[in-house]
Amino acid sequence: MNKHVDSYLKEAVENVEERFDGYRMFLRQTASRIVEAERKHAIKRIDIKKQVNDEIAELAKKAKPKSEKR
Amino acid sequence: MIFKKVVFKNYRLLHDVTIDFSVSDTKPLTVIRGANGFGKTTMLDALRWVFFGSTILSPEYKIADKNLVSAQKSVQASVEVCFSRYETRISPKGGKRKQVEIDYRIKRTVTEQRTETKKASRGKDGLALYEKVKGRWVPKEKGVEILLRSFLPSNVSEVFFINGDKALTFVDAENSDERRQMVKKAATEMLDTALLRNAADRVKSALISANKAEQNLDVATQKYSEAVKRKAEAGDLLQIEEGLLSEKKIETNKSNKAYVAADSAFIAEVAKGDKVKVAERLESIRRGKKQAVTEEENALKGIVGLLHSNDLVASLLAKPLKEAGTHLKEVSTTGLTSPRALATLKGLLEEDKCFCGSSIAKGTGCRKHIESRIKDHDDADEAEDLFDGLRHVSNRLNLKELLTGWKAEKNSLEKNHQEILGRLDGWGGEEAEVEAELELLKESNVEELRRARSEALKEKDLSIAALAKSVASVKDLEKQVKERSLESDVLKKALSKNNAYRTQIDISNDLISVIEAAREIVLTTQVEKLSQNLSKEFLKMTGQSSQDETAIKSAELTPEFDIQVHSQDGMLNPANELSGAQKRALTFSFILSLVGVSGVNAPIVVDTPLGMSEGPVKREILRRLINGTSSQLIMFLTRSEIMDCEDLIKESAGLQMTITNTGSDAVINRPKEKPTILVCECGISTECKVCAIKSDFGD
Repeated sequence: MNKHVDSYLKEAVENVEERFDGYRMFLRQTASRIVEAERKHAIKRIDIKKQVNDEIAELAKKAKPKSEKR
Repeated sequence: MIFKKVVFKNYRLLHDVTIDFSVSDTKPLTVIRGANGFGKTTMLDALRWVFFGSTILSPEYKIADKNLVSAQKSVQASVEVCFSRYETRISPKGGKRKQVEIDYRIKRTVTEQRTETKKASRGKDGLALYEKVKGRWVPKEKGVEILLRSFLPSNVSEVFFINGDKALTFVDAENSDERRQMVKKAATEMLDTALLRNAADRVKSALISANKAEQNLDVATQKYSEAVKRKAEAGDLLQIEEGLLSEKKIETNKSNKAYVAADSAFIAEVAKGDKVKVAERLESIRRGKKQAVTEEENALKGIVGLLHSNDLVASLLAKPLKEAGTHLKEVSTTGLTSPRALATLKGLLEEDKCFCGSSIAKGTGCRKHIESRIKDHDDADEAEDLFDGLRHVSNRLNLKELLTGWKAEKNSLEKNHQEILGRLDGWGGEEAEVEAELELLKESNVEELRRARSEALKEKDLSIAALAKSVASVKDLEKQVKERSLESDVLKKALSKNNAYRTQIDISNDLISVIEAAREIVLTTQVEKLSQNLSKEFLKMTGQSSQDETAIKSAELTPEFDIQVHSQDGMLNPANELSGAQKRALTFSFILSLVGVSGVNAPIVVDTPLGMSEGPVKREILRRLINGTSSQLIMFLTRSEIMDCEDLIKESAGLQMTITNTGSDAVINRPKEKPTILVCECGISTECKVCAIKSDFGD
C-alpha cells in the first residue's frame, strides 16, 4: 500500500556496494519484487519461500559473469 | 482509485438505487445527505461488503430487506461498483511502461433465505470483476479476490470506509493496548512496515539455507576433486586399455591371417592326400589281411583235419587194402610152415644139429636156411594177421557213403578256403595299392601343417579371447569413465550451485540490509512525519495552536503506535479527557495523516463524520477532511451535520444528493408503496416533495 516503499528501497540501496555493473538497480528491483510477493502471500498463500529463493538465485546469476571474469 | 458509480439491488432497503460519485479532480467530494435511518450507514456497509465480502459482516447482519424476504422465500441482493485506478502497464506500442487509467466494474451478489432466527442465512457470495478493454467489459477469470485485495487490503477497510462512530475506537477505546493495536494494525498495513519485516525475515530464512549450503561447500569441493581424480584415473586406464586393445586387434588380425594361411596350406595339402589317413587305411587293410590269413590257416587246418580223418583214410585205403590182402594171402600162403615142421626146425636150431647129424652152428648155410624158413613163417604169420585185420577193416567200410560226405565237406572247406584266398588276394592287392600310395605320400607334411594349423588356431583363439577380454575391459572402463564423468558433473553442478550460494549469501545480506533500511526509514521518517501531520491536523481541526498555552499543545504518534495528546498540563487520555468533537478530530487527523503519508490513493468513504461536533471545530474537521487528502471523498451527512457547513460543501462538492427512506415517519410526503430508499436530485440545502422531512423530527 505504501506508495513510498520503492523510493525508500532505492534510498536504502545506495548504501550497498555495487558488486557489479547495475547491481544496485537489480537489487532494488529484486527487493521490490520480494515485497510484492510478500504482499500477495498476505492476501493468498503462495510458495513465497520458493519465490524469494528464485529471486535471489536469479540475481546471483546476473552476478555470475563478473565473478567468472575475476 | 476512483469510485464512479454504485448500484444497489435489494441490499436492505436499497432496492434499486444508483448513485454517481464525483470524479472531478478539483471537486472530488460527493455528499450524500440523509437523515438518521435513511440508509447512509447501509450504503457504507454495502460499499464495504462489495469490496471485502461477507466476512466483514456480523452473523446477525441481514442483507435482504425483511419485507422482501417475507414476500418471497429468498432474496438475491447485489452491489455493483464502477471504479477506475491508475496502473503501470506495458504499452503495446514500443513496450514502454506507463501509467494508464483502467476502468473496472465489480459486482458482488448473495442470496439470503427467509429465516426467523437471529442469524442470517446467506449463501456464498458471488463475485465478478470486469475490466474495460476497448469499450467492452471483459471478466477477470481467475484470482479476482487476490486482485481485489491488492487494490484494497482488508486490513485498511476501517481507514477508507469510516463509520464515524466506530472509527472513534482508534482513540476512544478504554484499553490503551486495544487502541495501540488498532492504530498499529492500520499504520503497519498502510505503511507496509509489517510487510517489509516479513520480507526481510523471508530473505533471512533464505540466507540461513544458503549459509547451510555454503557450509557443505568444502565437503562438496573435496568430493568434486576426488570425483575428478577418479574420472582422470579411469580415463588414463581407458587410454592404456584402448592402446592395448588396438594391439590386440592387430594381433588378432595377424593370428587370424596366420590361421587362414595355415588352414589354406593344410587344406591344399590334404587335397593332395592325407598320409595319416592312408596309413590308417593301410593299417586297416593289413588288419583285414591278417584276419584273412588267420581264416585261411583255419580253413587249411579244416582241410588237413579232413585229410586226416579215418573216413578219408578208409576210403582212400579200401582199394590198396584189397590189393594188400590179396598179396598178403599170397605171402602167407607161400611162407607158412606147418607147426610141427616149425617146431622141429626150431628144435634143430636149439640142438645145433641137422637132420643129418651135421652141426648147424652159427653162420652155417644150413642154419641160415633153417632160420630163413622160420622167419618166413613168422612173416607169413604176421602177414596173415595183418591180412585178417585189413579184411576186417575193409569189411566194415561203406566206402561209397563215406566218400560222398567227405567230398561235400571237403568241397565246402575248399570253397571257403577259396573265398578266403580271394579276399586275401583282394587285401593283398589293396595293400599293395595303398602301400604304393603311401610311398607316394612319404614326402607329404600334412601332419606338420595340421599341427601348424592347430597351433595357429590356438593362437587365434587365444588372441580372440584376449581381444574379447580387452574389449570388455575397455567397455567397463568406458562405463566407469562415463559414470565418473556423470558423478563429477553432478558434483560440479552442486559445487557451482554452492558457489552460487556464496553469491546468494552476499545478495541476501544486501537484500536484508536494504529491506530493513527501507523499513527503518518508514518507521522513522514516515512515522515521524505521520506523527507531525497528525499533530498539525488535530490542532487545525480543533482550532488550537501549538503556541496556545492554555489548550492542547500537540498530538503524537509514538514509535510504539500510541496516539498521545499533550496539553499544557501534561498528557491527556484521549478516551476520557477529550470531548466528542476532539475525539473525532483526532481520529480523522490520524486517518488523513496516515493516508497522506502512505500516499495511497483510494476513495475515503465517511459516514456521519461530524456527529457530536459543532461550531468552528465541525467546520474545521470538514475543511480538513476536504483539503487534507488528495483522494476522492464520499461523505454521508445528516442535515444537522451539514448545517453551518453548506458553503464549504458547495465549494468543494462535485456531486451532492439526498437520500430518502420512504418508510420513515420523518418523511413529510410519505409514499404509500413499500418502504424503500430513494435518491433525490435536490441539493443539500434544498428539499423537495420526496425528501422533505417533518421539521419536528429532530435531525
